[in-house]
This record gives sequence, structure tokens and C-alpha cells, in this order.
Amino acid sequence: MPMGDVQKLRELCRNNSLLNIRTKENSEAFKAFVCLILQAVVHKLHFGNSRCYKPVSDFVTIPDEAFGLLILENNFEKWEKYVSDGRKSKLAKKTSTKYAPSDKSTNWAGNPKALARYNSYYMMIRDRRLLVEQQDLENDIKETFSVKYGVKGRQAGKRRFADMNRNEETVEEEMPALNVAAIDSFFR
Amino acid sequence: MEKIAGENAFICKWIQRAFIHSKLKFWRAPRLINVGTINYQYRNMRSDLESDNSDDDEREDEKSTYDRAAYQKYLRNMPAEFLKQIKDSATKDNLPPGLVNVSESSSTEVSSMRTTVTTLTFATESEEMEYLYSNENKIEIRSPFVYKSIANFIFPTVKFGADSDMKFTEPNFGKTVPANKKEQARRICEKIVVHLGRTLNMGSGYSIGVLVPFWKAYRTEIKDELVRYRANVGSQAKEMYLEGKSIVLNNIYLLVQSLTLI
Repeated sequence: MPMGDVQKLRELCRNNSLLNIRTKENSEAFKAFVCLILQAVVHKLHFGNSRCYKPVSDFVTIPDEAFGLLILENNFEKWEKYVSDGRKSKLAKKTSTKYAPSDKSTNWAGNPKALARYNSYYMMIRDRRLLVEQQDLENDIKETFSVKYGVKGRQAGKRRFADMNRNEETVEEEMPALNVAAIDSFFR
Repeated sequence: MEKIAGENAFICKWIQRAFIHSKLKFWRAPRLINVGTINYQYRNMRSDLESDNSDDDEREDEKSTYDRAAYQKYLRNMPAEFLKQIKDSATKDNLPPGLVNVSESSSTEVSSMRTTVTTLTFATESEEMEYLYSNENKIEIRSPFVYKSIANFIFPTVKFGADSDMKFTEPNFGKTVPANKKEQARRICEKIVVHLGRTLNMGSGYSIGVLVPFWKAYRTEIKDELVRYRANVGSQAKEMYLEGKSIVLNNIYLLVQSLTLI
């Protein structure tokens, strides 16, 4: 279940104003974008391993983020049709993406317009990442992830079951230091 | 000699067995070394100096395999001068000793097959590039470890191939090309080579002889991986997006959850 407002993200896509995603007003949309799209761009495993410990800008590069925005913009209409008509609709399958040269070809990456848009996203992200507001927002996202999924990752090996059963109250106190040297106990 | 009986005999028997076993364990078959090539050179040198005309058939007969002890003995009998010449010339250009030739006129100078190749001169950079692109032998040996480091370095930073197919496969590595007009493929290649820590040539940047064979070895994989990566990300993002949406659209969940999902 994604955090953030998916509806706001949809509105931004509809109005073709994804360049404003990294602003204070659209912070909820950005959260939804991180959960939905960036997870796919920065492989799921890598994302899952670092979301609780690092802010987004530490493990997601600027090209990654720009590429995610471009994919969202390119495929938005197609995905919306899937949502409205169902996953197996033929109409949605036939609809072309925004930067595709024709209905049949899917080579949208070679389109110079797509490249220009990607560059503009890149510049925007590079500038906005330096702002204090955005850094705070990223820290917020990190904290919410750590609350939801826990800071401690899944342990491997025998001890993980022992730790699961152990309560904080039952932890034994440390033994106080003895005045007698350890070797003396052999003679008593 | 007194006869050992009872427990002592039993122990002795086992000690004997253990001794034999240990001997067998550490015994190794003598390694056979092919010294035919060295032998051939040595004969060449000798024949040049003594001006003997020997037949090729005889030379072929001398190519044979020796065990380790015989090989050591053979090396000891060989004059030190010849041995040193062979070793020096072989280590000079990392050549196998079979390619070394010694001229009669100057016995101290050693020429090799490799040097004749490297002395190829080209009038322009484009000629050299054409030669390197067309020659199938001029390609670096592909290493999976190198490719892995390339993949980790490239794919987080590069998403699109801005060049055409021709420019991507055979970019212009000439030094006269200004920095603004360098192809994307060339920039990628140079970045990778720097990232891998290859030694720089004297002067500015890497030479064509380094960059072209390297790019020839890895270009197809890089391009394929870029295309595959884009397709994978698109399909995964679609799934994630539709999963997020289905919660909103489903009427049952709509009553329980608001549009703002936590």
C-alpha cells in the first residue's frame, strides 16, 4: 500500500506539470511517486534494503529519478485506460504512449522530445535536491518507512528465532565484577 | 634379528602402512614440459653461429617432451648467453619464446614478431580506426568481472542512447574531435576506462589503440542491457501503478480507506 496521495499525482500527470513535483505543495504526490515508480526504477531489493536507513537522494541517482518521471509521463494515458477498462482490455493495449513515434512502434526512447524532457527533469531535480525543504521531506519519508517496516532488517541464521521470542524484561542483568580473581576459585 | 610378536607386531604393521600411505599421498607424477620451441631456438642460434646448414626434418625430430629432471639438465647444458637472450626477448613484449628470432649479423640484438606489428604506421587517425574496427583480432578479451563493474557504474547514470546505431557501434575516438561534439558512446567508453583504473597514455587521454578494442568487446552487451533495463522498468512501474490504483477503484475498499493512502 503506497503512502502519499495518488490522486494528486494523477492530477499532476493530467495537467502535464510533473516538473513541479518537488515542491512543498506537492509533497504528498512526491511520496506516492517514490512508492509507486521509484521502487521499480531502483530495483525492489535495493529499494527495500535502503529505504529505512537513507534518504531518497542517497540511494536514488538523479538520472534514476528523472527516468522514473519520464516513464510516468510517457505511459500515463495508457495506464489510465487500463485502470478504467480493466487489465485485459484490448483498447488499452492498442493505445500508444506519449512519446512513441507511431501506434505500433514502441521505440519511444529514440524520440528527441523525450530526451529533451528527460534533460529538463534532470536539471529540475539537480537544483531542487539542494533545498532544505526537500531534504526534510526526504527525511520524513525515511522515518515513515522505518516506522512501517522497522529499522531492523530480517536476520539470518539460528539467532533470529531466539531474538523473536526474547522480551526486553527478561533480559538478564550483567553480573557485577568480583573482587576475587578467577584463579582463586579453584582452591576453594 | 628378533621376531616381533603380539601387540608390537600389530603396531609396527600399522606404522609401516601409515608410512607408505604418506609417501603415496605426497608423491606426484613428474610433469612433462614441452621444450621443443626453446630447443628449436637454441639450435637456430647455434646453426647461425657455426654456419651449419641443417635440414628441417632434423629440427622436427628434436621437438620432444622431457620430465622435470631432464629439462633441468637440458637447461644446465645450454650456454648461459643464449638462455639469457631468449628470456630477455620473451619478457620484453610478453611473447612466448617461440616467436623470437635472432639475426646473424648482430647476435646481441633480438627482434620479435610483435615489434613488427606495433611499428605499423598510419597517416591519419581515421585510417587507424578503420584498421582497428575492421580487424577482428583487435578486440579485448571479455571479462565478466569487468562487465559487472561496468554495469554497476553505467546503468544508474545512463538511461538513453542518444547516438544513432552506426555512431554507437563505431564512435569516433579521434583526438581532434572537440569536447562538445563527442558522441555519447565515446564519453561512456572513456568514463568506464577511467573508472576501471586503466593506466593513461602519455599526452592527453587514452589512445585509439586502447579504446577501440575495449569498446568492441563490450558495446553489444551495454546496448542490449540498456534496452532490457528500460523495458523491465516500464513493466514493473506499470504493475506498481495499477496495484496502487486498484485499491482506490475497488468499491469495497473505498468505504474503508480514503483516497489518501497511508
